[in-house]
Amino acid sequence: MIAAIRSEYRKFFSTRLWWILMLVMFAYILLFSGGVAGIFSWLETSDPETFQGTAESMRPMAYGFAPSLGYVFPAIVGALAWTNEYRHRTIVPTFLGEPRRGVVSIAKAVAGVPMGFVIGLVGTIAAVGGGAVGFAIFGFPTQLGDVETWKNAGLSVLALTIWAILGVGLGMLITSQIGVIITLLVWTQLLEGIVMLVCIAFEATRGVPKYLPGQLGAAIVGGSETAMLDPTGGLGAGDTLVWWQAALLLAGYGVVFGIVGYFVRIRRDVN
Amino acid sequence: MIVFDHLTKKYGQLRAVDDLSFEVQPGRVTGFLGPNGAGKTTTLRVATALIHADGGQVMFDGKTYHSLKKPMHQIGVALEPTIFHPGRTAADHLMMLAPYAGVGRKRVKDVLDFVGLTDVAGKRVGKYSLGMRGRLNLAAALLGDPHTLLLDEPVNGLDPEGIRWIRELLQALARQGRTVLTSSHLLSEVEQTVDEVVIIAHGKLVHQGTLNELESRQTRRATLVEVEDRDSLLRLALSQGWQVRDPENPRSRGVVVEGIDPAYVSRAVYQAGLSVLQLTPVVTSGLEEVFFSLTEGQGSVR
Repeated sequence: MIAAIRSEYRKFFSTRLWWILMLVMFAYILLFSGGVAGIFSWLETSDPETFQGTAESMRPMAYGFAPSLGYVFPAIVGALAWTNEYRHRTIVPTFLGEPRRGVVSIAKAVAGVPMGFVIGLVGTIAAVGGGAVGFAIFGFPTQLGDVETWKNAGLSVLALTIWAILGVGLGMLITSQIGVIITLLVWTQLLEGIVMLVCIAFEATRGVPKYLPGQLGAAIVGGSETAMLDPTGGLGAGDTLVWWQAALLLAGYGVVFGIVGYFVRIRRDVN
Repeated sequence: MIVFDHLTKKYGQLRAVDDLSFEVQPGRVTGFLGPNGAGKTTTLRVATALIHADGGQVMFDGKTYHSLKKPMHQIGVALEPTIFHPGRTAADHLMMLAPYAGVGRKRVKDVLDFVGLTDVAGKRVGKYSLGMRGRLNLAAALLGDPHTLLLDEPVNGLDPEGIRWIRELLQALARQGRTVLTSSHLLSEVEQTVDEVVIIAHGKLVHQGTLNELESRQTRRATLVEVEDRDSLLRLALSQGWQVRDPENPRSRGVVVEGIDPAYVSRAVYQAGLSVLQLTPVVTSGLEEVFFSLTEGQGSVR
């Protein structure tokens, strides 16, 4: 098992795509976080009457952009552990080296944790760093000395780490690189919102949305505060779960994807 | 020793490998031959647990590939050289496999040196020629210093120098007491390398033995006959029940009579009163001929 995990690290660090993705994620989150912090600080500065307290109220959202906007990146990087191997057929030497495919599967999931952690850290630094700079330019408090800020930053790293694990599981179910990316984007940007709206329309299913992956990811960092990006305008996030419940459930999605993927895809013949 | 024991692999109705049984002995190079589509690659993939068998099994010194603890340490496998990430260097490719083989950087450097890739070890494999990929594939197979080697068409894409190198390498490995099984769809490619051949067609074993046995197995006799009146000769052949074919040389107006003693053909032609221009015995005992005759009529593209 140790050997299989070590091999996973070497596979990961000997390709370029992951750090390109990480770089794009960093720039993307930095832009949004810095942008939001800067714009609302500027608004409040230029018209304090109308925008009283706006900058202050935007802080949790700006600092929470890593899990709310950037979660697709660790998920894709996690899935790459499988899709790269199937795409370039390095899955052949991998399974020749370790024919117990369950061992390979667990090794990839375990290796995904620190990789997700690093990506989570980078994403969170972009969100908190970008936001803090935006607020500081206009003289608003950054709250960087606040325990709450650091607790939320930690949860942000945790959320992205779990998204990476979910990605590894998803990569077992959908071994095509483009398939994973399309699935992630279509689900998170479109389908989840539709499912939420439908669920909220009926009394009986009103409690369902909080168990959807995107909502779980948001709930880890305190869902309602980042709910501006919730397509239902915060309706679905009504009662969110406690952070650790959400974290466990989101990881649970990854485990379920992985187990199903193992039986329907990974165990199949490699031609 | 490798034992292929009643191995069967089906793809729908097609039996890609059909109740195949043979043994591969250590200390010699065994050629695994058959036309393209005969089931060689499928057999090797089933043997290495990449695909599931529908029946039978393959044992390496009594163990299946799947049950081996560090298989690369015992069995070196080189399948088709299309199994590299183009963005990874040769050294990185081997380093990612090194933990599976239980070896370190030193061994990676040694095998790269051994296959002659040291100078390009830091280059991305995407820039490699087919021959270089073949060498890297072989380096990966040798990484764990295995006592058994399974190679699928290892000379593909290699230049003449590379082919000679691999020939000598395989023989040297066999002399060290290792088990070497190397596949090819061309007998001529391995003729000078192998001590023994296993020939399959349509997933079935058609011959196993030494090259000498193969050569003596089937010596076909044929007679090239050329007469003034070709139609009379064909009528004679028909009445005698001879199997005839056109000669290989398209300019020749003769007829090749197969499987009959030339002396008998000569007598029959003389008795029929045909005026003979030429009557030549043709003995086709080339290995390639035997190989074709063993695998022909199997409807596969060579």
